[in-house]
Amino acid sequence: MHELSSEARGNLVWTLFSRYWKPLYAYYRSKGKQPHDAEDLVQDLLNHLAANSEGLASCQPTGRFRNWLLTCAANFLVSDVRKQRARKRSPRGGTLSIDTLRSISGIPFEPAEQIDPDRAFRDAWRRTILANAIAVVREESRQSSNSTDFELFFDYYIRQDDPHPTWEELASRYQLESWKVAARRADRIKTRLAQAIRDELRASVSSDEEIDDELRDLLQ
Amino acid sequence: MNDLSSDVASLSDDQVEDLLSLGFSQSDEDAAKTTRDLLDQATADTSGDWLKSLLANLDTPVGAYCGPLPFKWSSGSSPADVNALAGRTFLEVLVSPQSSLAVLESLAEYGQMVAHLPIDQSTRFFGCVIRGMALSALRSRFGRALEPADATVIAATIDVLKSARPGFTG
Repeated sequence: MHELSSEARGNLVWTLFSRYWKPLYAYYRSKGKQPHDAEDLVQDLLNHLAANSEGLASCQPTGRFRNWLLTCAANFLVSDVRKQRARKRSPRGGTLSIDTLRSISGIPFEPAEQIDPDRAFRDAWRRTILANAIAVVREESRQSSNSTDFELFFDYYIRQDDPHPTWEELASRYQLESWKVAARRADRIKTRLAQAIRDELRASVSSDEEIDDELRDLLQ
Repeated sequence: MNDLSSDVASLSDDQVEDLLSLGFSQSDEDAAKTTRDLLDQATADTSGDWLKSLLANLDTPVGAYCGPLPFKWSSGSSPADVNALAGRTFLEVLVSPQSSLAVLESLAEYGQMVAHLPIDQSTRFFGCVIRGMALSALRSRFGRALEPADATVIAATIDVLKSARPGFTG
């Protein structure tokens, strides 16, 4: 079997943690685990998956990776693997800790009390996809020196100001000639965000044809 | 890195769904086709002039009741002016690929509200038309499953529009 290089393994560990730790954390919290225990579980599970990364990297997934990972999370709770404290067996390429990720990507979504664990996982998953897609678009806007479009989009659709600004107020704030111009410029970002969302979804399905199905499933 | 996660975490479920629904594959042509097909099937008029004409001839400034959509009118506008502006906005929403799940749902709810207003029949008829078109767009663009009653609304909308088409003989 093809063996991953240390660098490739490190990249895999990083990808696993940065993309999927929040849905897993939300799942374990909804299972009634205290924050510290939930963090330990996520850390152990992802490091275990990374330690067995040959199989993970070489497999051709069928169906949705999201469902597979959710099954792993459920099994991990009761498996012997966890009892062996997988993080003690550090994979080459290094382990990552929740603290490291928290420092760069913020506090995870905390599920509401008594929310169904599967639903908590899915909700955190879709918020992670959305946050990642928005981050990509924001970075692109910065690099293209067109950050006003992004700021308009962000102020209107994301920022939870009270009172919420009108398009006219945003046009004034960014010194644009009319509210229609402001709305149109924010729409450019929505167009780009649509593609960024599809790019994010593509990472967790086995074919482009499954993207719409995955999205439809996430929106149910 | 600014904390985008906390901003996204503060969004309501509806807002998250609204933004994620942008990711459905859809070309400009696909988005416009849904509404144009319905208009064509029902009115033989893909430009939407028939719908705009219907709205502009209502006595009630019914467009003023549609809060979620971003159109504005001056306080001195006549009902016909308000409705004409609303008609253009509704059509833009129905054919634009930028229109989100939430906006189309708002339009469908608006249509239902208008259809049940205790006012003249023409205005209530307009409400049915808008609801039918919005539901059709929701189904084709976002894969939204329709209740049997909704499917009936769409079919009835087409039938009613056909019967209202100039020269229609049944």
